[in-house]
Amino acid sequence: MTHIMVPDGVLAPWLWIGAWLLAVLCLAVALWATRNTDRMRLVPLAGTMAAVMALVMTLEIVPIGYEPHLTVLSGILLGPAYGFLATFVFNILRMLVGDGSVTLLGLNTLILGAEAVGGYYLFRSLRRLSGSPAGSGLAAGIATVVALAIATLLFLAVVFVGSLEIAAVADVAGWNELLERAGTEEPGFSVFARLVLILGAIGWLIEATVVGAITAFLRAVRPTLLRAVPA
Amino acid sequence: MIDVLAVDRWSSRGRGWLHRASAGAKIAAAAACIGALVVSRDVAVLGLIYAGLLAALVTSGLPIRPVLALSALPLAMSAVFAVTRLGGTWESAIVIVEKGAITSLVLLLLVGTTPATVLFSVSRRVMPRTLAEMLFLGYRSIFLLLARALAAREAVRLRSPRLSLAAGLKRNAMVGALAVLRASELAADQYAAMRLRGLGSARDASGRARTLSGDGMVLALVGLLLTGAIVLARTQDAERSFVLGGAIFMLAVSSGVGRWRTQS
Repeated sequence: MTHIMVPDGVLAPWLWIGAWLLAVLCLAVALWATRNTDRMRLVPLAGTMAAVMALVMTLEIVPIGYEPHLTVLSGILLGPAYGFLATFVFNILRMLVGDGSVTLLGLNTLILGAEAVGGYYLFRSLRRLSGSPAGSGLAAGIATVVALAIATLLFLAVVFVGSLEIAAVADVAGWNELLERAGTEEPGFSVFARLVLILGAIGWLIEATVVGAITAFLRAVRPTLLRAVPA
Repeated sequence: MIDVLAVDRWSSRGRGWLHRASAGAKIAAAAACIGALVVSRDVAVLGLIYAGLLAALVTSGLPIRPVLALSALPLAMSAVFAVTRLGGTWESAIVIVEKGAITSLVLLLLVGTTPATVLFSVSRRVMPRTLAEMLFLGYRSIFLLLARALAAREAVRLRSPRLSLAAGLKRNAMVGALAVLRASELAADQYAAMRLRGLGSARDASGRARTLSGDGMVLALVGLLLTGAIVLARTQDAERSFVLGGAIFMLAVSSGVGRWRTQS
């Protein structure tokens, strides 16, 4: 849901150029943070997680127009720096098969990167409460819901700032019927935001369940994968 | 689902004129096309660029229908977006669809005619090493994951009875986690082997040699196409229709000749 799928040259240049610059800055910081890390373990894992995200995104939950990304799982396994880098690579992989525009690569990296980075820190904080597989799963699930909620707010901010027509964005997600039920053909931003958050919340819960179950399983069979990453 | 395996096969087995050009030339040509669509909001100009890309597809030796079907996946999203966008004029709606179509087709022409190893050797020159290695391993991991996940799903389907929602979710999470674990182990082994063979050092190979004539052809054709687009953008009314019609006629004739030569 937070992956912006608008063709090149539609959004205002100041928005995507600014996002590109900010993304490059974040990538530079992330690369700097990875300089003294276990590259032999984390680089292949980051590549694998980028592939996981690229594949999982194709499994759209059609009734609510929700595309899971598992970005939070990437953040949990890779840490903030490698998680952000993996998100960038995932966006390139999607772009190379014609999905996602070149100019919005920066904007998508920032929003999805926020999910990975936020998810990591939330998981670290919540995991202290319980180290058991079930506790880790629960912590991962809660971290997923909160991180996705924050990223969705970022997405809404971009929609608002980018002056996109709300009806157009709603049409992309296939929410025409819901808008009609809302009793308006030209809804205000608040109506659009409410719909995105309501439908998004269903998707967050589904994604959180999957991330929680995978994390609990990994905690049980390979706890070293969930150890704190310095970067 | 996007058939990544097919794209990989086209890029490594094809022998068309686009396959003979270097990755650098094709990336430059793709960047030029995307730059043109970012600055242009003219239906005819974008239509001409798309027609040029279609001509390239027809003559490239790539399978036309599968490539067009693949490029239509993101196009569907653009089309829905276009219906209600930008004041509701037909021109603005068509512009959005054209932009989505051009981005999608130009990237598919690039990855469909350039082997992944060559693309990633180019990426190592323009990207930090860590990112380039991640990109390469990510691409390879897609195939590993697909194979692992499909095999695991088949095994589970054959051996398990119908389960409740919670049990089914737990089982699917286990399948997903096992696929991730195995794929990351294989990627780690591959990465270690690649580093032993000199990945990231001066001994690192930089891809298959390409012909300069292939590069010249790609760059000349894109230059010609963009020149035509600029001329079209500066003409008005009757002249405009004449220029557009002439350009499309020339593209159709050259596509026909190119296709005939490819097949014969």
